[in-house]
Amino acid sequence: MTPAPTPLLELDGLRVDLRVDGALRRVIHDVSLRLGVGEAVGLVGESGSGKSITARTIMRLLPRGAEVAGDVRFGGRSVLELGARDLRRYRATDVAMIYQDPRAHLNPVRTIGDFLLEGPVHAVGASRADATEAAVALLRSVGIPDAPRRLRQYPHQLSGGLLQRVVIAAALLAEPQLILADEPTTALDVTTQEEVMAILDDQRRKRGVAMLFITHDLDLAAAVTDRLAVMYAGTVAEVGPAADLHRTALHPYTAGLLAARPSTTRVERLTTIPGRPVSAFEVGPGCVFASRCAHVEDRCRAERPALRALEDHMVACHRAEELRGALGLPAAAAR
Amino acid sequence: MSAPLLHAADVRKTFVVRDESGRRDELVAADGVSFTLATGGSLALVGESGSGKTTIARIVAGLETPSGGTVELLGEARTGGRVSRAVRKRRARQVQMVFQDPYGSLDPRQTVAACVEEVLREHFDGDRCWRRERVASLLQQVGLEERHADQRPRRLSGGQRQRVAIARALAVEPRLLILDEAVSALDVSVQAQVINMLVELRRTTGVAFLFVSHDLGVVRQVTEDCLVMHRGRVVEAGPTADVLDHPADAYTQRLLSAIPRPGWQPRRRTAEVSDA
Amino acid sequence: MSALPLPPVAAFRGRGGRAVRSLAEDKLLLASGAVCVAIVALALLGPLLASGSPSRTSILEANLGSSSQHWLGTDALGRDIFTRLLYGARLSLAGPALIIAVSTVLGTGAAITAVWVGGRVERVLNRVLDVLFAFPALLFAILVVAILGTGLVAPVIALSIAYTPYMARVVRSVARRERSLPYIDACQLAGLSSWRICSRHILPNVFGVVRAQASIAFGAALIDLAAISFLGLGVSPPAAEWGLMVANGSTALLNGYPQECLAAGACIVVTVVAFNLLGERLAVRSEGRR
Repeated sequence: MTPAPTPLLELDGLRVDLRVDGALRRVIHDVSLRLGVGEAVGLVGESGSGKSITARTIMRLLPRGAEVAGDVRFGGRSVLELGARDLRRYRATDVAMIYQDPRAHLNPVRTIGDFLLEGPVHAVGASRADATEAAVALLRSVGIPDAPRRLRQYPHQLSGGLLQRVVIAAALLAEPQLILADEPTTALDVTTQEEVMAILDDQRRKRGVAMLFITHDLDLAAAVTDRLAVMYAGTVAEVGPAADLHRTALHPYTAGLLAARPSTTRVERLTTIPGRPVSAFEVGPGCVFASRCAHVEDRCRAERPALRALEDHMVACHRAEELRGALGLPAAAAR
Repeated sequence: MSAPLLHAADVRKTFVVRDESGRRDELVAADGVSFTLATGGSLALVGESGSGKTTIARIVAGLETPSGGTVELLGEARTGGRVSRAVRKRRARQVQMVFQDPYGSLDPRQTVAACVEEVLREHFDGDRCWRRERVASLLQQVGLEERHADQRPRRLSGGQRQRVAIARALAVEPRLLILDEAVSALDVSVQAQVINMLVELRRTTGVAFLFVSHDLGVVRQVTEDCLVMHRGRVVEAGPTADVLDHPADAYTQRLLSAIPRPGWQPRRRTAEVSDA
Repeated sequence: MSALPLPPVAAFRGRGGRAVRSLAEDKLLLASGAVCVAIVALALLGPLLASGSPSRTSILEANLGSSSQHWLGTDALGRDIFTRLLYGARLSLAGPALIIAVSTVLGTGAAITAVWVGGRVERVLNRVLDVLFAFPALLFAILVVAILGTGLVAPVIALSIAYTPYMARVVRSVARRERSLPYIDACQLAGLSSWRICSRHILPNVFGVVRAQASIAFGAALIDLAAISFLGLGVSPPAAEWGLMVANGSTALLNGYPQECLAAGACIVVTVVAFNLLGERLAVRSEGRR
């Protein structure tokens, strides 16, 4: 699991403060993460963990007055220092973003065709006929059969699932190297979610596009990514292989999240994490999870643990070695 | 099984909608829905959006009038429309409801204590002192601390707001508590706390649950029986354990197979359309 | 990692930043609020501050420029303009205040009733408001004056009715949003009476918008009343009133004595702008609270 020599995307000691009522408020403490070419990483966290702010920082879409320290590098270049023209190109062709609510991100008075063709025709300069042909082919590959008709329709005429597939097609149309998917299926029903995720996963793999998949659903992220990064209160708590993180979690927070999921096959008193998820600005000098951790000791409250390698994981916990096997992970059997 | 608390027979609900050209059209939200809920029981209404589960819950609560069929609560038929003050208050003592959105469920101008106290004043004769004690014990019952009593919703997290909404609903000591996606908007770690609290609550107070949810894991933890709905109709019904372990209906099977879990891979149902 | 010296902070010029309440905007609220309070205070206390009588005429002192005796000069009849402005403030502000009080109560009441009862009542009320809405306020006021005669009463009645749909329309949209929130459902299920839900839950939660709209409408009503006075359909001449003073001064203006017109006009403009700004800021704040 050694990261590729030149990672596609590299977050290095990222720290973000947003301006709230005139004062700076920390939302990201310290996030370092690498994403190789064609690799899929899940960024998993609850509300206030800073996962969406991380995505917005990568796109340089933070609100006015935000302050960023550390660096975001894409293909070795600092994204934070891009000039206006390079930034436009970066957003238009290098990275594509898929949002939680497609309806809010599509102009309601313009057709699906206008939306899909805007990028290729205006930003890249393709002919309208070529772009239309490409768009139709893409809509077909995301499972939309009557593509020519759909191109003439308006967003309100399409269901949420269909609309999200259009957004996926638009993301692929730019032939980006990275897709940033921010809770793309949270607003969808579970059966539609399966469909949309399958399509996104399938198309991404076929084209070798890297993906940063942001979600609160650990199991969903695990199914479509290679590695998972679990975020809490503006820091990365743990990074581990997606396929078996549910068995091998090393951080007490990851283990707590896993145990708190209600099972569909067993009735049990759920193991809970006391308190509520805290935000980055609320934590003290020690470990960000110290206030809710069952294994907390003095050192955890005083000194913030750095993210370090352990086995094939990265973990930010002072006691990770001692706690191995003592985190009460659910049995390996399917839930 | 004890005497039924709630009995719904062949409930139907249609809404009049207008399409783009202004034509009147009838939208069937629920049709032919029948079920029974025993005193102190716990029944889940499971389904995705558009399944009609929330419509049924709102009909039982009295917030909507059924277009057909009957809903009987404690042997008394629920009729819609305007009712007298006495009937309104009696019904309030029977059924309460907790809603999905923790942010819209509370009056932003009311403190937690005022919110619960308002209900107590409406239904009980106790003096101020009694009410204050009752508020404190209700807040404790739902896992809130004393310091939350004087706070306004703005200061509370989503999980805390839902607890206040549950405390307000419990204030009248209802026989039936309708929970409409009441834990769906909560973070996993907080959701687990509220689920445990609900299970405990039913065990100690004997209140019955009508539990509306799309989340089968939550349903498994909280309910004994379940009703799977799809496009306004009941497709499968039975004890929750049986339905989830041995789903008979194709839709229930599809619903179960779509839930992410370790080792799960999303499967495509629609084929990729090959170029003609 | 945090112990390392951090690289220079890159500040973003974020696009489309949402309207957050910053200090500068709140300063605007404070400033406009202070001006409004000062104007009302001057109107109430004005007669105590003024030295002379607003109606003392002196042909010898007609159309004087500003001096230590007559701060803003005198009008064509030699009356002190500053004194008349102070006395006139009461009449000029009382009219819009009455109009706003009546139209706010009627409009808010009608809007909440319509939203709460819904169905046919809402449809009928909406149609009534639409019809009223289609009527130009000023034309309506002139019609009523034609029936009831000139003075303050007729235009105030007419404008109160004309402003009701403006208030109702704004309140209706926020009340409808409030009505759709689940806490109102919860109140109903708790067995609370309609009166209690409307007065204790919906009204307090739409009050921020009502207050903002009332402030903005106050400025508009002031202008409408001034226009009516200017046309000679409002308060009759000997009385001091800003709109009337503008009308009075227009003759002097043409003769090269602009002081009365300018002073009265400035009072109207300052008051209207202050109340508009106050209303706008209040609206932003009540929106930001949600």
